[in-house]
Amino acid sequence: MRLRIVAIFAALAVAGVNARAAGSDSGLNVAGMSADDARRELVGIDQFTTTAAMWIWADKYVYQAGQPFTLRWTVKPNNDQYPYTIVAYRQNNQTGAKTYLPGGSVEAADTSGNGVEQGFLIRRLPAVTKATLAQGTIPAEPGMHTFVVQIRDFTGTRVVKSAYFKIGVVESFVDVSGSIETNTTWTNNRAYRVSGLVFVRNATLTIEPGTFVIGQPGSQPPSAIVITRSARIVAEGTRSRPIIMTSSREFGARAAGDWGGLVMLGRAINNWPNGEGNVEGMPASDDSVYGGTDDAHDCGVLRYVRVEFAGAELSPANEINGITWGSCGTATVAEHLQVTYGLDDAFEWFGGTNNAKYLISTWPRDDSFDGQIGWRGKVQHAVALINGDNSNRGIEMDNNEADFTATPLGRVQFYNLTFVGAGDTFAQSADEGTGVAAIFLRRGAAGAYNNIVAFNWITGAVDIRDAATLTNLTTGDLSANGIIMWDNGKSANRPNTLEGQVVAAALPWFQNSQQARNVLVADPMLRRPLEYSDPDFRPLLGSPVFRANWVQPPDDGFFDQWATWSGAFGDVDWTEEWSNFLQEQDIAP
Amino acid sequence: MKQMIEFRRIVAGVLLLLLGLFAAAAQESGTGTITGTLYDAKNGQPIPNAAVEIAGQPETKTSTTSDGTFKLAVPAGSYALKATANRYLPAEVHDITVKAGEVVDASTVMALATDVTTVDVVEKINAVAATAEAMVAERRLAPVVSDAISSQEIRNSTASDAAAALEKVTGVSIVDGGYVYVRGLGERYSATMLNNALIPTTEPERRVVPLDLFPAALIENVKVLKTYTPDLPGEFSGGLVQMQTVEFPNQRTFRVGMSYGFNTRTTFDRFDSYRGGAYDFFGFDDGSRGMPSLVPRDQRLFPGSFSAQEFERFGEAFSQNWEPRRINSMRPEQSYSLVGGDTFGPVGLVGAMTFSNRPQKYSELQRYLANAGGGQPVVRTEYPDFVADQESARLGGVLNAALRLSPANKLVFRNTMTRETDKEARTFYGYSGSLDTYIESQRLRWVERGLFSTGLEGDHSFQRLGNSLLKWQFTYSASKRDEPDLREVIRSPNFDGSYAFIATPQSGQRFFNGLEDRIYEPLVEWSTPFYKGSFSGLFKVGFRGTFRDRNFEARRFRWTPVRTSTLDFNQPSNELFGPDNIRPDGFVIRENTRGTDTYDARLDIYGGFALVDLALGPRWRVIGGVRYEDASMRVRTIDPLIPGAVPSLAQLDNRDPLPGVNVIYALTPRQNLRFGYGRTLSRPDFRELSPFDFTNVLGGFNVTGNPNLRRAKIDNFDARWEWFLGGDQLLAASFFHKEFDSPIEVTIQPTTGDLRQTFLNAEGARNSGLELEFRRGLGFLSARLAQFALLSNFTFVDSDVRIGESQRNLLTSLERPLVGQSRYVANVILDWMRPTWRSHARFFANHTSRRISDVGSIGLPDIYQEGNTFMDFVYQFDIKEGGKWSLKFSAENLGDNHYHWTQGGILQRSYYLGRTFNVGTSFSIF
Repeated sequence: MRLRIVAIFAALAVAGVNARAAGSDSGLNVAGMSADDARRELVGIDQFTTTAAMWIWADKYVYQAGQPFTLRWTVKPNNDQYPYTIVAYRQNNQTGAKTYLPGGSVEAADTSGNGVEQGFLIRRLPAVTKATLAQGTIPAEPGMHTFVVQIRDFTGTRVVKSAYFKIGVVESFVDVSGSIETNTTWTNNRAYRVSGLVFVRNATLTIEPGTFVIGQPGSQPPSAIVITRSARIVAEGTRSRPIIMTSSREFGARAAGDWGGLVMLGRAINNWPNGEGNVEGMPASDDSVYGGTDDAHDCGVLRYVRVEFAGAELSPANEINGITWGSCGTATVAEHLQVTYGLDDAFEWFGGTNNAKYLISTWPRDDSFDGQIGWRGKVQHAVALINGDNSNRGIEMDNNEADFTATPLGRVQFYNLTFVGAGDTFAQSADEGTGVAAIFLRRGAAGAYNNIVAFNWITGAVDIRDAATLTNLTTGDLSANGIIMWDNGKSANRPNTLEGQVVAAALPWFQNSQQARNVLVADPMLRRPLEYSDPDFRPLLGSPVFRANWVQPPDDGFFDQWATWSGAFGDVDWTEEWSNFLQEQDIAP
Repeated sequence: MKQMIEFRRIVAGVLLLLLGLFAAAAQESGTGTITGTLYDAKNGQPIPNAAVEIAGQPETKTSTTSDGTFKLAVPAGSYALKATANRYLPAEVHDITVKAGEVVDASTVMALATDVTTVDVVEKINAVAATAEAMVAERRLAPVVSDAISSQEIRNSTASDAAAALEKVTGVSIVDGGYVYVRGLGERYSATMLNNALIPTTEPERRVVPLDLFPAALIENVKVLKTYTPDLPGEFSGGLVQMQTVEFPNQRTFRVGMSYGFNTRTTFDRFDSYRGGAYDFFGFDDGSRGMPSLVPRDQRLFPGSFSAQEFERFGEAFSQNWEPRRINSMRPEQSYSLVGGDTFGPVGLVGAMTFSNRPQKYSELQRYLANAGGGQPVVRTEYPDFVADQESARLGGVLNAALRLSPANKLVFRNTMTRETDKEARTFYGYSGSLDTYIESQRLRWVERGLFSTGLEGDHSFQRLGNSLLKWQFTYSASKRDEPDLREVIRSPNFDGSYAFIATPQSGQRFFNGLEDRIYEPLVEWSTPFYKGSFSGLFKVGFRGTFRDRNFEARRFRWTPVRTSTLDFNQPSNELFGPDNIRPDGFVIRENTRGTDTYDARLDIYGGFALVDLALGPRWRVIGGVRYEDASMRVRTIDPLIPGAVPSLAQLDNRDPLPGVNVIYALTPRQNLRFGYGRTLSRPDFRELSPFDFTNVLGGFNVTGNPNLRRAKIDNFDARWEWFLGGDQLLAASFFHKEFDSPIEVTIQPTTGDLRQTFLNAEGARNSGLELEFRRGLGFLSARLAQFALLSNFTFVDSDVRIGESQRNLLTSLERPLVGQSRYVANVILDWMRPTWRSHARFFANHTSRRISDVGSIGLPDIYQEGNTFMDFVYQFDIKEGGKWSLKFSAENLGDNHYHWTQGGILQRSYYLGRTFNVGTSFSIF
C-alpha cells in the first residue's frame, strides 16, 4: 500500500503536476501539460480502491414534480491523495436515463461541468462536510430516482467508488388505514402514508419496486403493516429500485420509533404449547395470532426492502420490531433487507421455518437478529452495525422464553455473518446493560452459528446464558464454528484471547478443539468497518477471513456454496446502492 | 379537587355539630331514657305502631315508630314496661332500672295472638333477659344467614378498618389487605354495600372497593350476608358485605380517641420516601404531581405535532424529581378520631371524623420463574430486595341526620366520605430475566382513593293498611382514584459496577391515570304483613335500580434518549432528566398513551322482586320469591387524543330471573334448621371487558381485558343448624354447595416479552364446604372460667374449576381450586373480662391455609401463598367507669409472620411486616 502511494507521488512529481486551488473546490488541475498527457503519465498505476468515505443525501425522500431539490455531500478523503474524476447524476430508475449534475445535462459531465469532449477534470477528493453539491428541480417523471456520485479513476471510465441516494417522485399521496381485504397493488408513482395498524387479511398486498411507504407518527396503535395469516405480501424491489418504508418526519428530526414496522404472520409450526401465539403488544385477536401446522406457509416475498425509523411502542414495554416474521414458512422469501434505526429489534422471528439472505441491521435500539419460539430458519450473508448511540446484542436467540426445552427445538442455521460493534466508544447501557455480546444465546437456544466475524462488540463475542443452553452445546444441538473474534469487550478490558472473547461458562466447550473447530481470535482486517455512515465490511488483502477454517454450509439449495470465507463479505459489497447507512446526525441540517 | 371540596363540606358539618353539642352540654337533666325495639317473635320483623307504656303510669306512653323502636324519658327509678299491639299478645318487661342521664335498652319480642307459641315468649320478662332475647331473636329470625361485627366488637379488636374487622368472621379471609374472600370465593363473588346501597370501587383492576378504605371509627357495624334472598342485589355468591355508618346515639355522645403505633420493622427504622408536596402527610397533593398545564389535554405529544422547542418546554414543565429520599428514622403510626351525636327533639344528628397516617415498610423477595424444560422451574427474574415503602394517610368523615316527622314517618340523610392516599417509594435491584441483565429500579408513586356517598331515605308505616311499610332510598356514590405522575427509572450496572440509566420502555416513564366510578341507586320497597289463621307472613315487593358509570383515563410519557452518546447515563436521575439534558438530541418526551388507555363504561341494572315470608304452622317458615334483573353493560374504549376515533365496544345485555328460597325449621325454641337455595350472577368487570392493558412490575404479568366475556350463573345451596344459647352465644354448623356456570377466570395468552394475563369463561366450577361456629362463655366448664369466653369458627372449603380443552398446555392445571381459596380458615378468640378490674382482654388467632395466588402457565406450577397463623392481642382498661375514659393496648402480628409464596417448591415471594404495638386512649365527654 505504502509502496503504491510512493509510486504515484513519484509519477506526479515526474509529470510536474501541481496542486492548485480552483475557487472553493480544492481540485487538482494539470499545469503545463494536456489532460491527455497527464492521463498517459498515470496509466499503469493501480487505482481501484480508495480509503475515502463519502455519502450524499437530498432534502427529503419523496418529491413531486416541479419541487426544488438540493443534493448534499460529505467526503472524508482519509489521506487518499489520488487524482480522480468525480461524476454526479440523477438517474431515472424506470428508464435508466441520467441527468448529470450540477449542470443538468443529458450528456455525461463531471461535477465541474466538463464533458467527455473537454475531458473530465482530474482532481483530489475534496474534504467537505454537508456541502451543497447540486441543486435543481424535480422533473415530472414518476417513480424512483437515484442520485449518484461516482469517484472514477483518472481515465474517467472506471468507477472506484459510488454513493447513492434514492428518492421517489410521486403524483400523489395515498393515505392508508384500517384493513386491506382485497388484492391491492401499491405503485411507485404514489407514496403510501400508513396510519394505525393496517391489517391485511385474505388478500395479497403487492408493492412495486421503488415505492415509498411512509409510517405516520403519533397514531395509536402505532402505524404498522400486519400481514395476517390469511394474507401475503409481495414487495419485490430491485437493487436500483428498493422499496423504502420510512418515517414521515424531516431529515435530522427522524428517530427510532417514529412508526411501527412490518409484521408478517404465518401458519408454520412454533413451540408455543398449543402452536399459536400472539404478537407482543397487540390485543389478542385473529389478526395477531401466528402459528399453525404448515411449515411451508408462504407469508410472501420481500426483496430489496428497507425499513427505517420503526419500532414504536405498541403496548407498555412492548415495542414493535423493524421486520417481524411470526411463524412464516419455507415458501416465504426474504432477501436484501435492511432495518435501520429501529427502536426494538431489527429482525425478529417467532417460530416458523422461513429463511433469509442479505440482511443489514443498523443502529437498532435492541438486538439485530432475534429469534425464538422455535424458529428453525436459515440465514446467510448478514451484517449488523451499531454505533455509540445504541448497544445491544447481535444475535439474541432463545428456544422459548417460557419453556426452555419446548419442541420443536429452534434449530437455526446462521452462515456468513459480520458483527461490528461500537467498541470502546460504548460508554453506557442503552437497553440491556452489560449483557451485550455479538452472539447471545439463552433459554435453550439451539442451532449452528458458523462463519462469523465478531469485531469490536461491547461485552464479548459469544455469551451463553443458562444451563439449558449450555446443555445443547454438549448434546450437539448447538454448535459454533469458523468464528473470528477480535476486540470484543474492549470497554470491559477483555483481552484478545479466547478467554477474553467468550463468556466463561461456554469456554470449556470452545477450548475443546474436538467440539469447536476453527474458532480464531484474530483481527479480521476489514476495510472501513467503523466509518458509520459509509462503512465497508469487505476484508483487506491478507485478511484472515479467507484463511480461517470456515465451514462449508450445507448444499441444500439455500446456502450459497461460493461464500468461502468467514463473515458476510468476500470481495463483493452486496450492500451497494440499495442500502442506507446514513446516521441521522450526519445528514441533519 | 372536587373530592376535597366534598370533604371540606363534611368536615365543616361535623365541626358545626360538635360545636352544637358543646352548647347543648351546658344543660343537664335528672332523667333517664328507656329505649328499645319490638320484634315479631316469628319473623323478627320490627313491629310499628305498637303502644308502649310504663306499667301503672298510663300517662307515660308512646308508640313504636316505623322501625319498631320506642323511646321514653322517665325520672331515675325502677319501672315495668307494657307493650300492646294489634294481633299480638301483650308483652311486659320488668325490672328496668333507669339512672339519671343514662339509657336502658328494653327491647323484647311479641307473639301473635293467633299463634300457638313455639318460642319462649314469657309474657313477663325482666329487662336484661328481654333484651338478650330480643338480640337472639334478631339473629335467629333473620331470613338469611349473616355474620355481623358490631362497633363494640371492632373496638375490642385490633382492627383499624372494616377489612381488618371482618377478618374474624366465619368463612372470611382478607386478601391483599382489603379484599374479602368469603367461603373461598374471591372478591369477584362479593359485593359491598354502604348504608344499604351498592358502592363503586376505587380500583380499576378490582371489582369491589377495598374495605381498608373504611376507618373503623366511622363504622357502626359490618355484616356479611352469605345467602341470597330476592330482595338483595343478585350479583354476589360468596358474601354481600353490608356496612352501616355510625348510628344515631340514644344519648348525647362525644368521644375523642387517639393512638400511636410502633412497628418493629418500620418505626424508627430507615425508610424511603420522596420529596412531594406540602400536604403529603394528610394525603392531599398540592398540585405538584399534576400534569403540567402546558401539556395539551386533547392532543397526543408525538413528533411532528409540536416543534422541538415545544417538546423541550413540555419536558421541562413536569416535576423534576425522580429520586427517592431516605429517612433515617421513621415516625410512628398515628391515628385520631372524633365521634359525636345527639338527638334534638325529632332530629338526630351524628358525625364522625378520623385521620391516620401509617407508614409501612415492605421489603420483599420477588422471583419470576420460567420453565427450564419438562416443567422444571428455574428462577428467571429475581429481585432479592424489593422495597416498597408506603405511607398511608387515611381521612374519613360521616355526617348523618335523621328527622322523625311522626312516629310513622322518618327521613334519614346520610353522608360518608373516606379517602386514603398511599405515597410510595419503591426501589429494587436484581436480575431481570426479560432483559437478561441486572437492573435497579426506582419508582415514585402516589395514589389517592376516595369514596363519597350521600343518600336520603325514608320509612313510612301505614297503620290503616295493616301496618304496611314503605321504604325508599336514593343514594349517589362516587369513587375516585387518582394516580398522578408515577415515575420510574431503571438502571443497569456498568462494567465498573456503578449503575447507569438504560433506555428500556419502562425506564424514564411517567404514568398518569384517573378513575371515576359512580352509582345512582334508587330503591323502593313495600311490605305488608298478613294474618290468616295459623298462617301469618309478610309480602314484600320492591325495585332497585343500580345505574353505574365509570370513566378511566390514562396517559403515558417516556423520556427517550435520542443520541445517547451526548448524554451521561451515569448521572443521578434528577440531573440526568434535568433541564440541561432535555433537548432535541438528548432526552425528548415521547407520549406512549395507547388508544386503549381510556374507556368509559355503563352498567344499568333494573331489579325488581317479589317475595313472601310465610310462617307455616308452629315450626316452619318459608321465605321465597324471585328477583328479575335486567342488566345492560357497555364498555367503550376510545382514543380521546384522536378526533373522530372509532371506539371499540363491548356490550353485554342479560335478563335473568333470580329465584331464592329459604326455609327455616325450628327444631326447638332455640334451635333452627335452615335450608336455602338461590340463583345469583357474576358479571365481568368493566376492566375485564376493555382491551386496556397494564404491567405492574418489569418481568411480571401484563393484564389485558377480553371483550367477549359473558356473565356467569351460580346456583347456591345452603343448609345450617344453629343453636342460640342466649345473648350472643351460639353454636352453628353450615354446609354450602355452589355450582358455577361459565365462571370468569384468569388465563394467559402466549406472547413474548412479558407474559400476558387475560380473562375467560371457564367451563364450570364447584365450591362446597363446611362452617362451624362456637361462641360461648366458659363459665359452664368451671366457675373459675366465668370471666372467659371462647369465640371460634372454622371453615373448610373444597372447590374445583374446570377449564376448557382450549387452554390445555397453556394453563398447567385444568382442574384446580379457585384462585384465592384456602382449604381451611380458623379463628379462635379468647375473651377475658373482669368488670371489677375494669379490664377486658382478647387474644386472637387466625389461621389460613395455603391458597393459589396465581395460576401457573406453560408447564409452570401454580403459585401458592403459603398458609399462615396470625396472632393479635388487645387489652383495654377503663380509667373512668363505663368506658368514659379508656386506655387500649394492642399487639398485632405477634408471630411476625413470614408471608411467603411458592411455585413448585421454589420460594417465589417472601416478606415480613413486623409486629405492631399500639397504644391508644379514648375519652367520652358526656
